[in-house]
Amino acid sequence: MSLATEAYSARGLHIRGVGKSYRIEGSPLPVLQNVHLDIGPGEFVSIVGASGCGKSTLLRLIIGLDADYEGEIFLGGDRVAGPGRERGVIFQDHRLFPWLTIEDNIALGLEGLEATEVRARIAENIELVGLQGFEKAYPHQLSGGMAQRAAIARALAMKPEILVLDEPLGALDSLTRVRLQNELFRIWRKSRMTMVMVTHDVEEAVYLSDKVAVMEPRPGRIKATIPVRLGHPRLRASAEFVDLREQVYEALQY
Amino acid sequence: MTDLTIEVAERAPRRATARIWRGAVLPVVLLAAWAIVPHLLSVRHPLIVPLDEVLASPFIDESGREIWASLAQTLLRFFGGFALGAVAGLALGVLVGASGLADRLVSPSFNAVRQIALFAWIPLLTAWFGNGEGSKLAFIALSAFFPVALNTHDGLRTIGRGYVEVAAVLKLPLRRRILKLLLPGALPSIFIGLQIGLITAWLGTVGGEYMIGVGRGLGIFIAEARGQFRMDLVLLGVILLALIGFVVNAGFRRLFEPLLRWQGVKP
Repeated sequence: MSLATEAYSARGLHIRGVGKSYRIEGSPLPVLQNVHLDIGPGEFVSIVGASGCGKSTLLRLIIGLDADYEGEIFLGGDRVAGPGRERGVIFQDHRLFPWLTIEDNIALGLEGLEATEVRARIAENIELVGLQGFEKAYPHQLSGGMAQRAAIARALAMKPEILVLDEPLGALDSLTRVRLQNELFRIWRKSRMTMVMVTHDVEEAVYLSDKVAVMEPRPGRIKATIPVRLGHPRLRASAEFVDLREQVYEALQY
Repeated sequence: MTDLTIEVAERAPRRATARIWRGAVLPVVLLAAWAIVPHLLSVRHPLIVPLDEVLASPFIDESGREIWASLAQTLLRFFGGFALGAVAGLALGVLVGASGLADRLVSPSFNAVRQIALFAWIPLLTAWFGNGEGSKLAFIALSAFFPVALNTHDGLRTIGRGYVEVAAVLKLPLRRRILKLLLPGALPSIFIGLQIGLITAWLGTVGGEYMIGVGRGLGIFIAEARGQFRMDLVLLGVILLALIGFVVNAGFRRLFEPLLRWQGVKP
């Protein structure tokens, strides 16, 4: 499998003074204000915060779905303008096209590649997320956890440098969730990709991340960035883990 | 892996067949009555024709045999007109569904014109195209055009925003976006539009023939039979109309439903 041998070329993501406001009845309502965040190449960074703190808005700006904002977002040395194939995205809902089989969904973004390369990437990523045998299945035939795996495979098939995850496990039951957290970790380790994940789940953030950015709302700002200097695998019940989790919870109080 | 679950459709085929049979009771009783009762009556009246005579008329009766040529003409007209209308409807639906500008330019007029009752077009069309084939084709096309255009537009408009974002994130080029997102996403709605279009085009075919009344066709056949007080031929025509409507609808479903298999089992 090529993932094991060739590391993805990873660039860091740099968010510089980003602000965004919506206009409500003519007057501007700031949703993000002066957000700074540096995500190093190959780093796993989580963004946590209460609902409405603008974390998903920030992610939309990183993805390039919304270009109307102040400040700058850089991927390595390049300014982000619009969506790009170097940024893979996992949404909370899997958003697989229901009319395409799993393999056709994975192949969706592989335009302009040789057929053999497309086949190789499908097989490689199906195997990576453990969906062998479901290539020809339709999304409605999969469980929620499997569908989200397929969505991960679709994003990874494009060989992005950075994976942007918007509450990727938020819609799953807790057992599936823990299992997929381990899968995400395994994929990140193997690929050394840069990953930035928005989540509600503090434990999930501490479990996976090198760094947890805590946002506070009205307007959305980064209140604290807490480095997680723990080795892997992490034990959720260990004293250091619990301590870090409490630190994040504390930062979330306002 | 333990979370690998495939949901399998549960069906209750026995209950379904029982329902079909119960639904068939009334028509079967009525048909039997129609077949038997007129023979028991001592008086013959031109309005009361036994079923067997109606069914035999296209084979033994001289005027009855003309129904075959009329049928062929009608079917040709129907499919031709439907094809014209459906293609135009698809084209307009895709145009206004894909382009906001076209939507704002065309949709208000489209919605205004749509309010005109279908048969009110006939005087206009005959004035423009005469009483020949042109008017009838235009009328059939028009009756298929509106539902197809409307549902195509609707299908494109209601494609989930989430899917559109995925297409943006994956940077799908236009061709792929059309083939993999827009067309399949709108297909269930287009399918409904075509189905309604087939029904309205069939109504339009027979109604147009009946009202314009020049040349050959089932509608004209019925109108003439009525004029000659041939109830058997009128009934024959009506039976044939129903039969063709049914066959066309069932055939369409058979042909296109496999395209929608991805929808899975409806809850």
